[in-house]
Amino acid sequence: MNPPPNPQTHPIRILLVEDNPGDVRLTLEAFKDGKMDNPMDVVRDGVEALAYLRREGAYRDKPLPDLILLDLNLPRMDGREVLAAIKADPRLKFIPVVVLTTSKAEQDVVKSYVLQASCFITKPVDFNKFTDVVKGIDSFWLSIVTLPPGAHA
Amino acid sequence: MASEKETETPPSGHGERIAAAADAVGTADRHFAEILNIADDAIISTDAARKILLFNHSAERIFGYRADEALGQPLELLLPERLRHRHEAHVRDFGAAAETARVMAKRGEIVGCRKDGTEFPAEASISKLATADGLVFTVILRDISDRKAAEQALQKAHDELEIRVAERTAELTEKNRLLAHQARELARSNADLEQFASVASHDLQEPLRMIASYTQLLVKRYGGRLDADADEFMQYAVDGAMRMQRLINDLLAFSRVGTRGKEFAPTPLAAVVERLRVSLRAAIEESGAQIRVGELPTVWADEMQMELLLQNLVSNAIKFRGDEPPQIDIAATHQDAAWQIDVSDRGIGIDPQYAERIFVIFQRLHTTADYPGTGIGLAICKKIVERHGGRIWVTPAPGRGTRFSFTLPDKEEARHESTAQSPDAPD
Repeated sequence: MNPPPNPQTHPIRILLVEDNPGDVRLTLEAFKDGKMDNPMDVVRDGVEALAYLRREGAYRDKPLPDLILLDLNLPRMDGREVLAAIKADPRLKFIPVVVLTTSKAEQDVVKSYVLQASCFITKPVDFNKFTDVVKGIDSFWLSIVTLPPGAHA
Repeated sequence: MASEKETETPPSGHGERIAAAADAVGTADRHFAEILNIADDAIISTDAARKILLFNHSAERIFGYRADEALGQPLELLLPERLRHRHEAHVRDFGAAAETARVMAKRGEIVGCRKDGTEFPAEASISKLATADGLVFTVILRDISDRKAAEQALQKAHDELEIRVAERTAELTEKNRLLAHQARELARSNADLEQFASVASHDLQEPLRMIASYTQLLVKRYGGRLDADADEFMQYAVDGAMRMQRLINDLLAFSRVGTRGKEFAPTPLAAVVERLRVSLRAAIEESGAQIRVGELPTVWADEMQMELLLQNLVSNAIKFRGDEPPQIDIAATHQDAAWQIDVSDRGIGIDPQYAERIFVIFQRLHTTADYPGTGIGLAICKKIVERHGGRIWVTPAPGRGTRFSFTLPDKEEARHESTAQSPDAPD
């Protein structure tokens, strides 16, 4: 039997689904600023996100992420559809999905939870607060939550 | 009675009785002639060949012929040329009929012709009497010109009225159409506004966040590594972006008062005030505010919005407090089917010349440095109160400070349902 993943030696692997390069960089910078060096892959739309998670094409050798950071407004297939597809897929549905968006609209929040998002976070305008949020995500999923085994398969 | 009298009369001679009878006949004839002449209707008799035998005073007056001009003439003299043929047929038909009297024609279908050639509408009936000399026809006729004229005037007035009603109806229909059109326009423009608010809140925030975050990142990574000017410029850029974000959020909150309001329900204001004591705890404790609450009613309202309204007013009172700890009074009075709620403070007060302006969105009386804020709070208050059918205004509080007052209609539902909702009342 595999021992439970040790957070010290196995930082959680993150998939960021985000189309805006400014946001991608900002998220990376926030991780850097928070002294977090989680391995992170970035895909730019919903179709690519599902291809990544289903290990199709160029993503054949990619391990499954421990955590998905998902933007809601994406080209081709938006975040709500991606979320629904993840939760409908038995191999993917245990991966926690953090919906990270600018939207504070009630219906987005409700819809996301209906679709079983693990949590819904509005990206703060203030960069320092954003860094705090990213740190919070990391420490919560890193040290508090026990992730399902097999996530590193 | 009459027969009794007759029997009482002593018997008289035969000759006397004949004389009396002849006398009676003469009297009857005279009476009959008088009746003929004072009758208001024209009475005209003809023989079977329709020669006029009798032509009374009213006939003279109505037709303009003297009796001696009419007597012996054919009855057709009194009819317009175009109708004579039809009339002859009628009279012949009547002569042969079993009945002894008939109305000559339905009202208005008889037309008489005067001596001067003018025509007039008439009503007439005809009767026949068999005599030793053959059939005698008697026509009784009435000039109904006046009645016709009155009827026509009435009809005309009626027609005109109908035209006016039709015109007014058309006007109203047009106005209704316009109103319906305006209502649709308004609904559309509200939808546009809602759409705008949504765009403002989401799509505008995205680039704004880029500006703010990257400027902050610049400050973080390069602050102090450039010169003092660069640091100052970056700080202004960050402040501007932050402020714009607050404005966008406030604008969104403002637009949601109308579009995201909840249905009204009985709302006990006392409970609302207790909740806002909790939500404003930090500000209350920090300022040492004293909030005194009088007896407050249950009103028919959107509870969340009541809380937002009172919270805005109370936090305003705390914010604009002056040097001493704020003293805030919340009281209700009932007047003219409405509740008036007053929130008074002893703060810095408001110059009466700005009493209207403070309720306009983004209007501020102080610099952000002195009193931070976007100037949305009172605009939201006004919108909430107006959505509830009340009004809001500000007056100087007695002594010192400011008193905000707003009204809410006192709806029966609020009181009824509030008592119905108290199942724990002791029996």
